[in-house]
Amino acid sequence: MTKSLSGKYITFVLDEEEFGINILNVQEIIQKVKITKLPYNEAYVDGVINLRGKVIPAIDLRTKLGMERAEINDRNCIIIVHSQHEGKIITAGLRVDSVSEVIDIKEEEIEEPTALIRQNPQAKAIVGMAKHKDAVKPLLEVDYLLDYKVIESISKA
Amino acid sequence: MLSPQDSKTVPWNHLRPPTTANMNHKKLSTRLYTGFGAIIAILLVSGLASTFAFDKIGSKADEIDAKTNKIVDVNLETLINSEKQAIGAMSTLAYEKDHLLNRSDSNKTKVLNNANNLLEAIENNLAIYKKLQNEGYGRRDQIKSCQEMIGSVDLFKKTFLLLDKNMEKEENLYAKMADDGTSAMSQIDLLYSQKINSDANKEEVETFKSITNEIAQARVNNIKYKESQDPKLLSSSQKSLEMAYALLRSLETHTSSADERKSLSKVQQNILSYKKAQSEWTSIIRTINEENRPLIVRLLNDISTQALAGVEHAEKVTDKEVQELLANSSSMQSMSASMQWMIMMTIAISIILGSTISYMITRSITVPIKAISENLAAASQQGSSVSYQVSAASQELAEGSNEQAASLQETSASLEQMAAMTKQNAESTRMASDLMHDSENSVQEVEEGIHEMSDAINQIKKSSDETVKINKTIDEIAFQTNILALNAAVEAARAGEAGAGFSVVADEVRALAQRAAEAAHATSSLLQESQQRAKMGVSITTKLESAINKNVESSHKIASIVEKITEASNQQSIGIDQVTTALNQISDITQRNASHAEENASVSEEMAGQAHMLSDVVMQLKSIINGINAGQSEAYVHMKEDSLIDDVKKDQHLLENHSTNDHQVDKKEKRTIQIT
Repeated sequence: MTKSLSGKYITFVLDEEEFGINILNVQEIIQKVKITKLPYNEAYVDGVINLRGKVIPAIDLRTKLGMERAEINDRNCIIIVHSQHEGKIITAGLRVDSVSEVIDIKEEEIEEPTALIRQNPQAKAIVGMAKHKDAVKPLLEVDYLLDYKVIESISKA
Repeated sequence: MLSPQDSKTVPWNHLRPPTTANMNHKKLSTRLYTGFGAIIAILLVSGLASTFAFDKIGSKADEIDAKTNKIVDVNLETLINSEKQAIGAMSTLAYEKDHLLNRSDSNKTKVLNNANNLLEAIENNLAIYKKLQNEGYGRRDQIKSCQEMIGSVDLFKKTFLLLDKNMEKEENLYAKMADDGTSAMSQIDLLYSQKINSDANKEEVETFKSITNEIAQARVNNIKYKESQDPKLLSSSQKSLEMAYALLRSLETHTSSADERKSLSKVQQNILSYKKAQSEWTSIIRTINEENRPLIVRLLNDISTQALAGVEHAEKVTDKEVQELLANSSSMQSMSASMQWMIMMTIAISIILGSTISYMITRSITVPIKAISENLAAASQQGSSVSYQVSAASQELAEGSNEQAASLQETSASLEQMAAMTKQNAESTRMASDLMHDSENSVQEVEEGIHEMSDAINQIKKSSDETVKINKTIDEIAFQTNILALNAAVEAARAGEAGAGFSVVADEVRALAQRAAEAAHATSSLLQESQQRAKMGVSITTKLESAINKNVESSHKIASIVEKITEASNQQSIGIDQVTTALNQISDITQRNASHAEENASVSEEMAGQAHMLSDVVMQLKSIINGINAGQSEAYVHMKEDSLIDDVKKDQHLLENHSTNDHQVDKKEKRTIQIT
């Protein structure tokens, strides 16, 4: 563990499982927004959205994590996240089933992901497991979720 | 009981009559008529053939007759014409003679007319002969003769006219001569008288006398000459005239008186003219007598001969005509021979045909009749056996009647039971019908209640649906508030320390949103429950309704069934009545059966008698067909029949007993039916 994973996390639901993502990576959460579909090679890209004039790619987090893709519906929220790469900030939207709450995770509640999870390349994003209220919630690292090249190409397309 | 030991059932097949061609399919009378008709027809045909033959011969004879007549007519005509010619020639001759004696216009006309008649007759014949010649009958000689005759007659006519003219001339000349002579004579007389009165020279007087004499002589000679044509007379007359003339001249020279001279010269003139006339007259007479008349006579002769010859010719018939007549007669002969042959053939054919037809018909009648008589013999035998069979049948009939009576009793008993059941049925049906009506009424009420209930439930459903909608809205609001709170939390986290208070607020807001969401959730689940309840209520109501409908349906069905049952009960009682009537009828029939059985017995006796009679008749028929002896073989059959008749009589008695039993059974039947 190079970096401490404690702090506030936004929890969201994917396929009835709660995941967490660091609140510092989150810009905002939006809902009921039109996703313009574009033909992409990458399957996990839903399309692009217009966020106050900016074109941001929308990624289906389910597909990104190797889960079964769900159709876009009204309850879906898009979490706008950003990460740094070589000094540049890249922004993308992650489509999730629904958003739950903000939780505060202490250090001792976090555990390393199991070896099994680590072996799965798609589960690279899961950087830790948080024990919170008798449930285990995987914590995702945004950096691993966003592929710089892809995002760039999408943004510029 | 009888045993059928004596009944021989003769099979019918071997007695079937043989069919002689198709003739047996027609009535007997038709066949006889056909046969006689055929013979009559054959006779007719023969007669017609003969008539035809004679007709032909007759017409041929007519033809020949016509031809012969034609020939005869033609020849007759020519003959008539030839006779006319002969007559014409004769009359021409006669009239010409008349004319010669007395030349007058009427005689002349007569001669010419007769000559023309003659000519006409000749020309007619010529025409006929020419026609015959053209037809091939040779008449060349006759034609030539006619043409010659025509020539003669034409020449005759010419000559005759010439003669007539000459005769006229002769008369005129003669008259002139007479005139001259008379005037000369009168002059001379005058002078003579003058001379005598004056004193005249005797010589002169003598001369005058001589002159007168000469003149007179001349005249007399002329007259004689006219008759005899003697040239001596003529020359003497001429001499006389010359003498007279000379004397006159001498007188003239001797005369001094101018008047005398004048008169004398006048006389001389007269004499000269007389002489001139005379010479002309003689030449004419000569012409007449030497040219005209001989020619006429010759011509008349020729004509007469030719006419007579013509008559002979007319009577001849040429060879060709003879040949024709012979040919006709020979053709007649051959035709009559062929006709004879034809008639004989016809007669022969008629005989053959007639005998064949009569044979066929006779056979067609006699053969079937024979067969039929044999059939009848067999039939009479059958009759006897049938009588036995009838008696046996009567027995069976009696037994049957007994059984009938017994079953009738049983039937009437069961009928009674049925009648009682039917009455009960009717009663129950009535009750059921009443109950039905009651149940129908209560069902009506239930139905109405259900309708109201259903309406209320629908109302509940409506209001709960609306509540759900509202709840949904609340839930939406809660959700969005949550999002808002989260966003606020994010901003607060971003803000770090400064946003700590804000993040608390955000949390609180989130908590509120949560509560609202929960409340909405709880409400929603409650609402769902209530909706479910309402649905259940609706379904229960529907179930109730359908149950009630079924109820109604089944009560209707029950009602109709009850009706049907009533109807059936009625039918049943009607049926029972009918059956009762039928039973009565059956009992009547049973009685009648008994009486019929009696009749049967008597009938079978009659039948036996009839069979007997039938065999008698058959014997008669056979004797007619085959002769008297044939009937005797049937006597055996008669004997057998008699024995059968006795057996049948025994049967009769048994039958009568049975029929009285039947009567008793019948009476019992009737009583039982009345009881039920």
